[in-house]
Amino acid sequence: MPLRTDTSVRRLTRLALLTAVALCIHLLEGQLPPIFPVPGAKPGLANVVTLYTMFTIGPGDTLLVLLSRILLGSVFSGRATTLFYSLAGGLLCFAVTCLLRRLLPLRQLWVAGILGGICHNIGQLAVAIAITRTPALVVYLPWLLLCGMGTGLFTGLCARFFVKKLPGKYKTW
Amino acid sequence: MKTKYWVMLFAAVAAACVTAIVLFPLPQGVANSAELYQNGVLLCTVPLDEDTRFTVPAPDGGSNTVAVSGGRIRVEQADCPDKLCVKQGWSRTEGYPIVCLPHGLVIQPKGRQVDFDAAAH
Repeated sequence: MPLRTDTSVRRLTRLALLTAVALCIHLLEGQLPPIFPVPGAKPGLANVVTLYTMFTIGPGDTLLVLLSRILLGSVFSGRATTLFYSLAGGLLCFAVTCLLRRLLPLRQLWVAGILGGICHNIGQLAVAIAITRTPALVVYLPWLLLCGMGTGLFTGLCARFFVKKLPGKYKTW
Repeated sequence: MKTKYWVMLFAAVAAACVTAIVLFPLPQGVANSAELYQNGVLLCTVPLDEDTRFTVPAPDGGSNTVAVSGGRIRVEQADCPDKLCVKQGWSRTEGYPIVCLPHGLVIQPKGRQVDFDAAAH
């Protein structure tokens, strides 16, 4: 894939669109009723954008998209508390995906999806336990992990599909 | 790492989760009382055998209206922005605490007998 330095307007537009997509997914999935009484537990489907951006563009811009989505997400949904949950889940997922980016071939993107999903849920549960101060919530960990692995597989496969159809020709740092 | 090793790894994790779920099932005992916590501090213990309704003020000025009916408890009304606590609905078991995050409220049903009447906050 040819590497070119992105002009700033094109890059800005691309990242803005990615943020918008992630934001929409994030807000829509936030409307779903909670299955587990763990506050902030969400499927984490917006991570498909994080995966896609990470594997086509790069960690720097992925971080920009992620933080913008989390910040705007908490503003638009009107819940400031969402901020901490999304930050914990999103940043942990980001860190893991960043490591995996170098290690995994594209055909194993689903692995990054699952690992990202696992970290996402662990991050959310940790923050939920910390904020509500009920360590008993940890009993939901195996349930969350199973669901997280399921949605992670789904997001990983989706991201793989998108990377195949929309390969990024522009890489930044 | 070959794909099949990843598959084995995730299968092992899933198996561990299922084992954990079987060994540590969500507490299912029907509760006969519920403890109300605010930011980790126990406010009161409410017996679930008497239908009642009361309001818990939150430190930020908001409030949650808690209702007990038919051995179950729920947050009927809340002025937090997301109202996840209200959407959680009724709870009658220890395994299903009701949480209002913005107000730091946790309603934890318990399966043991309550020793004293609900104390007003």
